[in-house]
Amino acid sequence: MNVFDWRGPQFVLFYLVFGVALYFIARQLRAWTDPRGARDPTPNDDPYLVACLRGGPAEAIRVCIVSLLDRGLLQSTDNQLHSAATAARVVRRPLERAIIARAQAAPTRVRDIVRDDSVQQQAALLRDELAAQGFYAVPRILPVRILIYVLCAGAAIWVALHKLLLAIERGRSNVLFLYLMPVALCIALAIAIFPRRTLAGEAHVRALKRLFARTHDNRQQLRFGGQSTELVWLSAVFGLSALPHTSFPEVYQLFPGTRRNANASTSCSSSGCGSSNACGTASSSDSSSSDSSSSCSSSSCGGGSSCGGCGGGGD
Amino acid sequence: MDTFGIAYRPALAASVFEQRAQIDVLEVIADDYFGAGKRELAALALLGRHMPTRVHAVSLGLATCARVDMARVYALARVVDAAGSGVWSKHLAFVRAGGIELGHLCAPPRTPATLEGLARNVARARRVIGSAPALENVATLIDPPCSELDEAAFVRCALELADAPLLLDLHNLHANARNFDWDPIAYLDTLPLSRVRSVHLAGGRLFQGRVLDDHQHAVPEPVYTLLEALAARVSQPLEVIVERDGRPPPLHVYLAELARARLAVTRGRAQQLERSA
Repeated sequence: MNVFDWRGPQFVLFYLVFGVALYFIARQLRAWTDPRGARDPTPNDDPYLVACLRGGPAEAIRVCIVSLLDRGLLQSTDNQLHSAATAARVVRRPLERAIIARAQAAPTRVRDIVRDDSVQQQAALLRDELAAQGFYAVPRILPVRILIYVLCAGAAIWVALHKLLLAIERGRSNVLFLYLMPVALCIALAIAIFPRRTLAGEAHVRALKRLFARTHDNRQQLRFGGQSTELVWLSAVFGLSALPHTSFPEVYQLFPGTRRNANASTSCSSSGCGSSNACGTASSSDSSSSDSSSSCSSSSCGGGSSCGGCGGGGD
Repeated sequence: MDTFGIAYRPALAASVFEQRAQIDVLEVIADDYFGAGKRELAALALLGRHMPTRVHAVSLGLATCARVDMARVYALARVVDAAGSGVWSKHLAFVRAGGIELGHLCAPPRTPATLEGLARNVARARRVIGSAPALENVATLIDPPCSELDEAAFVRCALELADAPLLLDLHNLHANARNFDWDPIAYLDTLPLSRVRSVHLAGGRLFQGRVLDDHQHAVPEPVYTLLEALAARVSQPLEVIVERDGRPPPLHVYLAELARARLAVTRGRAQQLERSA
């Protein structure tokens, strides 16, 4: 039983199974070679680190800008951001200071702040910290990932190429699928092997999303300018598109890219959003494949009253 | 060193993360995680790595002659394991009888039979979970019928038989003292205070002239007075937890109560130093 002698439909089925197996092998190889996450990670403390972990340094800058706007430390006029001289004294995080300094120099567009060297430098420090924690892919692990990719993609191409040569030798002409299948599989393998985060980083983001599920459920209560802790954490963990459009039109105006996912995000109700809805991909920049997992259904670990005890038995 | 924390509610996640420096410890309700999937437990583990997390079980019902529901014990073990600290607590109460869920923490008849049942149940739970619970005194509106022991004697015997530490709920103590007309400070002196590991503070309201421990109101001043008295009497570090049920207030409300609790403990410790000097 030589699979290369199988007819087209049977071989397609074989290649599908082979592709799925190869995909999981690639993930497993990545799991073995990716650095382990820190046991006691710091991203918990800093919403901008969390935003960076979820969506990259640029996302951390965007979340920081929204937080500063919410706290009144940045103002927006005609899509230009500016800041009062006193704002620098209030902020404590380096990324906030860099953004305030840029906005104080002159009214600035969001795009220019995101591209500002000193702001980017601070955001890059967040990425470096995440890398040190084992949550972010660093150049050091790239050769290993490339090796895994070459092995897996090589296997995918070899099988398809072998069949293709046999088919041509036998005078078959309907061989387009033999070109397309390995290309699709190589793309899937690239997605599996080269994400920005390590597996530990992905698990950390998933856990954070579950932990903040109630904050996500209660997001309709947030108001812009409310200086709430919830706003910055909601944005950091789920992305700017988790902010309700009705309460945060300024955010959607300043970051037009956010609108793309807004409806998908707000459709995620506390009654649960299944296993693959938009919450995981709430941010416009939150593009990692592994984020598509469910994150925001109202969990069973609700806020629950504990003691049942309004009668006699108190706890 | 004395530590101060709050009963965690998922709605407080963002505030708790932001104000980590002001909260030493969190207490989660185990029952909220019974039946939780891997992801919920991973989230709890993340919380446990973020800050020390204690597990408070509600629906186990250890203080009874009936055998504890082992399915719940196994579920609790998963939660304690995920939280990471291995520290858990349970009330000196029963919550079901004759197959009926009472939906309520009921003070058991204070009899030797109850104590034996409690000791057996604690041993069963300890075998599965790996540690004994801190046992918590409960509030009650009635003196449990058929009781042969007073509450202090019952608590003393329970802790001794189960070889467990005491989670002293000072609002429960305050409520019982008011409802049964005791002197709470004198009662405090009858407890095995060396076994007190942690303290619960909560609030209640008056219901038909009696104090109802509903956990939905601010901690009343007499409870802080009791905390001060306790801190003046014990030498071991105390873990003080402020509890609120129902819709949790904003975190600053908890933090104000924690600040008041810190003051009470500081005053109590100062009294102790003065006495020893």
